[in-house]
Order: sequence, then C-alpha cells, then structure tokens
Amino acid sequence: MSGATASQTRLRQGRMTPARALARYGFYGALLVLLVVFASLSPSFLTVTNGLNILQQTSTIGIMAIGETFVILTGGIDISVGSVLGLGGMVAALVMREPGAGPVTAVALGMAAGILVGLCNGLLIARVGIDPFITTLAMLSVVRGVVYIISNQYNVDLPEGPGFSWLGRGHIGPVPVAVGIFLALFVAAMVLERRTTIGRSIHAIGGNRRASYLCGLPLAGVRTATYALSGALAAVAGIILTSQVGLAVPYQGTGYELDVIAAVVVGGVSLTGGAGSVLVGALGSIFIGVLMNGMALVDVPAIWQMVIQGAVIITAVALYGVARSRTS
Amino acid sequence: MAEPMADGNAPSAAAALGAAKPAPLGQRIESVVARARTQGLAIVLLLLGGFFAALAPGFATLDNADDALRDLSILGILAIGETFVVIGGGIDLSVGSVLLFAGIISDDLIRLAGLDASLAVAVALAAGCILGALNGVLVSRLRISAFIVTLASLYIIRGVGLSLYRSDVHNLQATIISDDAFIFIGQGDLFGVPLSFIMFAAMLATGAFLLRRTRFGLHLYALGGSELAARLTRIRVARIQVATYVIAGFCAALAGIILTARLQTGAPEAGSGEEFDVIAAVIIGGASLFGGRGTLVGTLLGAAFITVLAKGQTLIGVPSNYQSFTRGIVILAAVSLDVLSQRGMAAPSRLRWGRVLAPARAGLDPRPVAGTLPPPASDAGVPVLQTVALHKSFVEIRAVDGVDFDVFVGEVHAIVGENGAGKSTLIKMLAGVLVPDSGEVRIDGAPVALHSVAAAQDHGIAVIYQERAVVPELTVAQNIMLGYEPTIGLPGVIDRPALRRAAEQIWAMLGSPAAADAVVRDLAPSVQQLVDIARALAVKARVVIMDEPTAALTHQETMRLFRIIRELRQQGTAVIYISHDLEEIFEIAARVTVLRDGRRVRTLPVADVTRASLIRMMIGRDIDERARRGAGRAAPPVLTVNNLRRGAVLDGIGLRVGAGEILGIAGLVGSGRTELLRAIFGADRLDGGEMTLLGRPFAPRSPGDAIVAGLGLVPEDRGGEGLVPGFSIAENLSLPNYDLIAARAVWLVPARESRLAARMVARLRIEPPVPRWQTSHLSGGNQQKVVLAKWLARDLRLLLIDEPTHGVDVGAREEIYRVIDELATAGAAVVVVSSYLPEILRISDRILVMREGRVALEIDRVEASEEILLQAATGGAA
Repeated sequence: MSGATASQTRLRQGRMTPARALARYGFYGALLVLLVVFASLSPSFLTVTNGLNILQQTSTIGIMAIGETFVILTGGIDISVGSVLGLGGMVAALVMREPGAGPVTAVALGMAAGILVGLCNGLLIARVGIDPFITTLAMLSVVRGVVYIISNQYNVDLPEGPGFSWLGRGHIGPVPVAVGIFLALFVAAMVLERRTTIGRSIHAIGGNRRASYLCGLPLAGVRTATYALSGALAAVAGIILTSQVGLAVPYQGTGYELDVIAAVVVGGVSLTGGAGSVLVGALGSIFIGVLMNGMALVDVPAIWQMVIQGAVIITAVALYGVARSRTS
Repeated sequence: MAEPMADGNAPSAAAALGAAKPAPLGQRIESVVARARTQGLAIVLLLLGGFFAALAPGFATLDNADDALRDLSILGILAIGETFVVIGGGIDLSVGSVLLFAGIISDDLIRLAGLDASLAVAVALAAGCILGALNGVLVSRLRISAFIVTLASLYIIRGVGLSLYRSDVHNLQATIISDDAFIFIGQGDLFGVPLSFIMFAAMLATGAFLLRRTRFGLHLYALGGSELAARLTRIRVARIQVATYVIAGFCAALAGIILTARLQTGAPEAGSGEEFDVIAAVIIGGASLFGGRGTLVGTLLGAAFITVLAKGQTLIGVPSNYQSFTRGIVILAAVSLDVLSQRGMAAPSRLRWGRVLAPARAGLDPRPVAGTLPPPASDAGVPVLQTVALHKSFVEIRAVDGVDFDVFVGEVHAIVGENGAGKSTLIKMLAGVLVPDSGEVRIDGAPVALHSVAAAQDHGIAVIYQERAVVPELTVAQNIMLGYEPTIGLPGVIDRPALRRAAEQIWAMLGSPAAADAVVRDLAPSVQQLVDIARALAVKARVVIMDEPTAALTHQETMRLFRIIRELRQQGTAVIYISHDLEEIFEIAARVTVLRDGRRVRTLPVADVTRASLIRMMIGRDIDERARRGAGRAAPPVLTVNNLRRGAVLDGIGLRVGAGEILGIAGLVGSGRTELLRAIFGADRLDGGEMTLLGRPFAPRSPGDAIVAGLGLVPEDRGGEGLVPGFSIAENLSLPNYDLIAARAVWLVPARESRLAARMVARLRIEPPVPRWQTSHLSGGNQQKVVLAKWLARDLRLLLIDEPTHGVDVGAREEIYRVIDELATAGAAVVVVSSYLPEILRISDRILVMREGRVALEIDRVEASEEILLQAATGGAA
C-alpha cells in the first residue's frame, strides 16, 4: 500500500505502473495468498469460530500497533511495548488483589503505569534528545525489571469474580470484548489521525521535522504524546491479556515488541517516518494475526514460526522499499 | 603529537605527522572533549570496579578476574564486529543469533558428526561470514533498512539454529564436548591470561589498524559520515557495507565458538538479548547510530563497563531480574550524559563560520573581466564529450528528451534553463549516477558506457554538484583525495605524507582558505564548496561539469574560480557550466545551450546572444526588470532590533523596519544573515539584545511565539526546512495555520482547509493548480511559491524571507517579486535576505549590509549600487 497520510486523496502524476500497483495493492495480494494457502492446508481455517479466534489474537497486537504506528510516524520507535504490556497486566492484577479495589481502579492504574513509562520515554527522547532506539531499549530492561520486582518474581492470580475477566473473556453478542475494544480504539485513532491538528502534526513532524519546527508545531509535546499513547495502549493490551489468561505472569509480553513492529512494517509504515497511517498499521496487525493463527493450525513447529515471521518481515520491507523508490 | 585512538573522530592526517600548521581551535577543543568522554568513561569504570570490590568480597579476586575477562572477551569480540557496522551507518541486531547458531553447529559437528575440532571451528566461522554476507547484501544491494533486515535475520537464524539443537542428544548426561583442543579455546590460559582474552586483544589491535591506517577504514568513516558524498565518489559503498556485516558475522561466530568451548556444550539460550548488550557497549563507547564515528578503544571500554556491571551485580547478590532494571538505568544514564555533553558542542561549529572565512585577498579584482570568450575554432575537430539523442524518463516524466550536446577541448560551454528543464538529469547521466534510457554518450567520438561513477571518472569526467558532497567528519585533505588515496603495499594502507602533499598542492590552487587538516564540518559553507571543487580538480579530468558552483561562494571566491576555469581551459580541459546567473555565463562561457522541458532549444556562441534573448528562449516571454519604486514614505516602525548577540555569529545587530517597507539584507555567506532572521523568529536562542514589535517588547522563545505575534519565515533551505515532502499543496499550506482552519484548536475543518488552499493557489499562480498535488512533484519555483504562500494566508505584520528565489526559474521569480511587492503595499513589513545583489537592488526600499555579525552599512535604495554594497560587504578591501 502506498504511504498515504491523513489526506487520502493526494494526487500523484502518471498512470499505474507495476511498481505503483505493487505499492498500493501488494499487501492485499499477499494477504489473499496467505488466506488461500491456509484455507487449503487446514479445513478449520475458514470457519467463523476461527475467524473470531484470529480477531482475538489480532486484538492484542493490533491495540499495541496503533500506538506504535503513531510513534513510528513521527520518526521514532518504541521497543519497550512488550515490557509495558507486562507492567500493565501486573499492576492491574496486583490492584485487583487489594481488598476494596474494583476492576475500574485496576484498569485505570494499569493504564496510568503505561502512560508514566511513555512520558519517561518522551522526556528522554524529545527533551533530552537521546536516540529513541536506545532509550526504549533501555526502558525495556528497566520496566521488565520493575515487573519482576513488584511481583517478587511470582505469578499473580486474579481473584475470582466476573468484573475484571469480562475484558478478556466476555462477549458483546458474538464479538469478544477484546475485539470490540480494538475496533473502538482503531476508530478513535483514525479520527485522531485525520481530523485533528495533533494527528496532522504527527504526520508533519515525521515528514520534515525542521519544517514543522519553523511552522510553530510543538515538537516535544507531540512526540511525547505519541510515546504516552503507545505506553497506554500497550498497558491496555496487557490488561486484556491478563484478563484472558486469568493471571499475570512476570515474563508476559517478552518479545511482543518484535511482533508489533513486524505488523506495522508489513502494513507499509516507513521506519524513517512520514509514510504510512493508522489504517495500514491495523491491516498489518491482521496480516500478522492471520499468519500466526494459520501457522498454529497447520502445526508449524514454534521454531519455524519464528523463521517464517522473520522472512515475512524482510520480504515485505524489500518489496515496499523497491516500490517506493520506483514511484517517487 | 600523536592523537590517541580515543578521539572519537576519523583519523586525522595531521595528527600522525605532527602538524605543520596547528589545527584550528575548534577542532582541538572537540578532540579534547572526545578524549575526555573516553577518559570519563574509564574513570567511571574504575569507580564502578572499586564500588563492587568494596561491597563484594569475591570481586577483587584472581578467579573473578579470570571469569570476568572471559565474559568480556565474548562480549568484546561481538562488539568489535558491531562497531564496524555502526561506524558505517548500519546496525546488526542478529549477532546474538549468529553466536547461538555457530555455537550449536560447532557442537553438533564435533559430537554428532565426529569432526576434528579445527574443521568444526572453520565451518562455524565460515557460516558466520556467510550469514553476515547475506545481511550485507540485503542491506546494500536491495537497500532495505539495516534495522529491519537484521531484525528479521535475528528471528530466522535463531529459529534455524534452535532446530539444529538436538535436545535428545544434548541432554544425555555426561555427554559434553571432550575434545581438549576445542575446550582450550574457551577455558585455556596462555601465560596466565585467558586465551580468549588474548584473542580479543589481538582482534582489537587488528581492527584498530584497519580502521585508522587503511583505505578501507577511511572509506568506512566516509560512508558513515555522509552516504551521499560516498556515493558520488569512487568509494565502493556496497562492498564496504557487505564487508562490515561479514566482519560482524565472523566475530559473532567466533564468540559463539568460544562460549560453546567454555561451557563444553552448545547452549540454546545463548545470545538471547546479547544484541542489546553489544549495541549498548558500542554506543557507550562513543559510536553514533548515525554513523561516521566510533573507535575500538571506546568499544573496549563500553564492553568492559557492561561486563563489570553484570559481574558486580551478580556477586553482591542482586537477583538476575533486578539486574535487568539496573542495566537499563545505567545505559540510560550513560547515554544521557553523552547527549547532554554533546549539546554544548553543536553550537560552536555553527558559531565559527563567520571567523573561518578567508579575509579578502590582495590582488583580486572584484570588477568583472570585460568581454566574452570566442567560440572554439571551427576546425576544433571531434568534441571531447558528446551526447547523441539522450533520453531519460522517470515514470511518466520525460526529464531528458533527446538531447544532443557537445563540448570541445578547452571550451567552456554553459547550460541554462529553468528548473525542470533537465539540466540535473543530464549531468547525472554524464557523471555515471544515472543510466540513460536510450541515446549515446561519446568521448573523442567513440561511444562509452558510463554505468558507474568510477567509470565516468575513469573516462575523465568530474562533477561538482550543487549539493555539497563532502564528508563532514573527515578533514579537507581526506575529502580532496577521497577515492584516490595513495597507498603503501597490499592491504591498502594509506601513505599519509603523500596524501597530504597531494591535497595541499591542489588546495593551494584555490588559495588554501583553511588548514588542510581542518575537519570539514567546522568550515563555512563557502569553504566547503571549495573543498568540493578541489576534489574535482584532483581527479585531473578532461571534462569538468560544474552545477551552480558559485551558489555559496563570495564574490572573491567566484573570481578565483573563474581564474581556475580559465587555467583549465589553457590546459585543454573542457568545462560544462550550469548556472542561473546569466551574468556569469556572459563572463566565462564561449557557447551557451538553452534547455527547456528536457529538450535543447538552441546552442549559440555567447557573443551572439543578449540577456533578454536568453531569457526569452528559456521561458518564452519577456521579463520586466525595472526596479521597484523606492518607498520614500513615512513608515510606522514594525520591528526594531537592538544589540542582538548570539555567540560569535551575531555581534550587536541593530535594525528597524516599518510597515509597508521592504528591507533588503546583503552580505557575504557567513556574515550572519540567516542567523539574524532565525533569531528574530525565535528559532534560536539569543545571548543578548532587545527587540520590539509594534512598540512593545518582543522576545519569542520559539517560532510558535513569533507566529502568534504575526511573523512568518521563509527559510533558505526549501527542501530541508520549507516543505513536508509527502504532503499535498493544501497540507503544506496549512502547516502553520491550524489556528485558522481548526475548530477549538483541535478539529480540522476540511472546508476551511480547501478554501485556504484554493485562494493561495490562485493568488500565487501555482502550477499545476491542484491543491491535492503532492509538492515533491512540483518544480522548484512552484515549491518556493508554496513555502511563501503558507504565510500569506495569515494576518502578517512582518515576513522574513531568506533567499526568495534561490534555485528558482525566471518565470516564478517574477511572480514571487510581485507577491512580495503586494504584501508590502498591503502594509506588512518585509525583510529579504539575498546573495544576489541585482535582486536586492530590484526589490528593496532600504538596504542593510552585514559583515561578520554586524551591520556594515545602512542605505536607501536610491543611493545604492552593486559596487557600494560589495565594498561594504567585504570591508572595502579591493
């Protein structure tokens, strides 16, 4: 898909060429191929139950991918999301165990923890000026350490009761709550991106930071906001996951950052900023969700799943890279 | 006076020789700071060691030292490979996986396949190199982001490695590697020192030699410092990039072998997370993820730091999970300090520009040499360079559409044309950067294939580009000889004295305006352009192509350049000269070719054309060149500036400009004009001075403040600071105007945005008049109109414009002048900075001349002339 920003109707000169077609429609083609391959390999793939499974799995990554997309659009990156996922879930679980604390408090505090981490990232990256890769990499370590410290390295069981577990295991009609949350957040993110000044600013800063500065855009504020958002959404994903599983495990979320980045990249968001959108980030999450679900159904050994995911990333980026260079 | 390796910068030729001229003060300060950073790191390391020794009884023991050295060797060897990659501007996240992979296959080969240890080691090392090469090829040939490629290969290699780990076999008790030779690698000692540490030290020494003394090392720093510059020279970018990844793969494999030997078994959890430690070690050691900087001594210290931290924490009983917390905090602290300490450095580089400018040299004649040059004699024979029906299209755009062109020995042939006429594309084809779609290029009548920069240079074609293609981190001498370094012997070891001599010889032709061992980053843009020119001269070309070479040059430097061009002519070199400045063409060229829309309109002897006829051929209509009527009316003051100071660049500037008035600011490059505008706009901080706006104190702390107060700034660098490339015309026009098009400052209203865009497109006559058109597809002139127009939508009190028509075609230029005029007539104050004196004289009511950060002259337009302005700008030396 081409790197369309908020204004989807930007015109480019010229007619469709193979490179352009690849950039715009290659993703859908690949997704189609994937669906066909898995459908033919496994009879239970194209069922409604499995479809809902896919959406459920996608929701976790998808929610994080929304936040990560905003960060990457400004030219940054957030590698700490896996640890923040763990933190959100762990904080929520610990709060739930306190007498008198309800699910609402748990969720609020879990998200607050995520936002706090995001603000720290934003402070170090946007105000002190450290490279985002290094900062969020270090934060990944720090936050994981915090998770272990506050849990004393033990799993934390959730107390029995419907309130909290509704998030991860409840349904609204046929749709799992987690999926509903993902869709709601997705819609909100699209509105933010296309219809608000902050959404436009995110694209502007990613496209040309110096020009944005000279036009009076609040660089540090916007960038910090993207990291805070990323932290909040990672925490939400962690809360949902903990609710699904029924307990908070200290190592939960380890390695998820790579899945999230893979999703965003496959969708077509450029790691250098300025190209991509929330829409393509979400579509990329679906792709990764389908891929992981399909591989599990076809009994691909876990080790080879890793290999395939890596190959998918390289192929996607190579093709997008080639397509982009041919169209500009 | 040899600089220690830990200077964080590329090797300096002067340092090794004992400099004849002292390095400029700025450069000395920077290397002192870099050394301090490394020394600071060493001190912190000692303190840390002392801390742990005090707290943990087992820390300061020989056993622990032995253990720690082995840990350090493994991390250190990994980090050596990563350092090469990072200096080149890349990154390798897969090193942990390669370590795992090599460890497991060497274990499998010895225990399952019964191979001899040395053979197993060889295979494992080869595997590491191959995996590295794969990474390198994907990054350099397919041009995929290194981060993504190595991230993906991290997955893939780990997966394949784990699948080779036969846990059924490995978990059998008492089945560990028993090959003594192999075990010795990981566990043995030589003279009491662990063998692995000796190996690490040896590799460190070899690597350091490679980086500091060989061509490979210099080119690696060049590539990391400026990939653009590297690609425009003979440097074999792809080869160097692949080589760095192969080195990283080799080092990772070696580290894996050592680890396996130490544990006597392949370990499936090995290497996981190792890449983070490695990168941390390299960054803490002083390398930059942007490339072009880093040393192996720094890496050694960084790796030692991480090792001591890990070991110490384990020994004082910190649980492993808390360790992850402290490691993260420590890395953050180290890198924060690094960044903050560098903040103080960034400013001095900019501040020095004004000072480094060479004073006006005696003996230079500032008046243009009268007369034009005769065309080559009709019996000049075969042209030295000729193009026949050259075609080049980009997607739908016919950039060059069947161009026939030739230039003869000893001729200066100028090419003129509006932006988008095809000049740049033509040059790039002659330079070997682009390949023509069809048509021929002939040298001395014989067709040649210019498929690479090296090929073009081998055929004797050298190009001086509009964008400065210099490597900022290297010295003047290194830049001049880039790709042509004289070497001693086989491994490409650079002959430093010879390099210096050769560079100085060429530099002297340009008047040696800076020390040959000055780092280019510290020099003024005009001097940097001279370095570029010097490099073209070093190539000893038969044809030199110059694309807007005088854009950043002072008048004296331009005259000097013309002198050089005349000398080149005498020597039989042909010169192709591209310029927007028609006066220069009349002065220096024999023939001129006009390009329009990718085609050649006409080629004529310069003696047979006039300025007007040239312009007519370029755009097809006449230009109104009358001067603007001078203001002469009382102008209520809008802005007053008093005693503005900023470092060494602004040295007490005072000015005033009134409503409806256009103030032109002239001056040499480096006199502080751009900095003045930025300071007024709140984009840079001031050291002193006051401003008032409409009579009230005015002290903007950011561009946002200035914009709210009714100011606007059109920056000098349109591409880098003026437009967001992926945005449409409308989106770019809205950039500073969200307060105008948003409801409650948050919600964008599409209808308001389209109205604003439509208005501006019409008013500025932007072509094509489609607000949804992407600005990166507009011509330079139309892009400049967009940059200007976004301010016109506002209620402006004062518009600051830096180089309104730089790189803009003649037609668009006129429209921009018209708009500026209208703006002033409507009551706004306008300040225009320009390097083109006729332009200043054309549009200003009053003129200020700046020199070295101060106002040298303030004069009304009616009393001014080019000579007066020039004299004031240069200090009156003639």
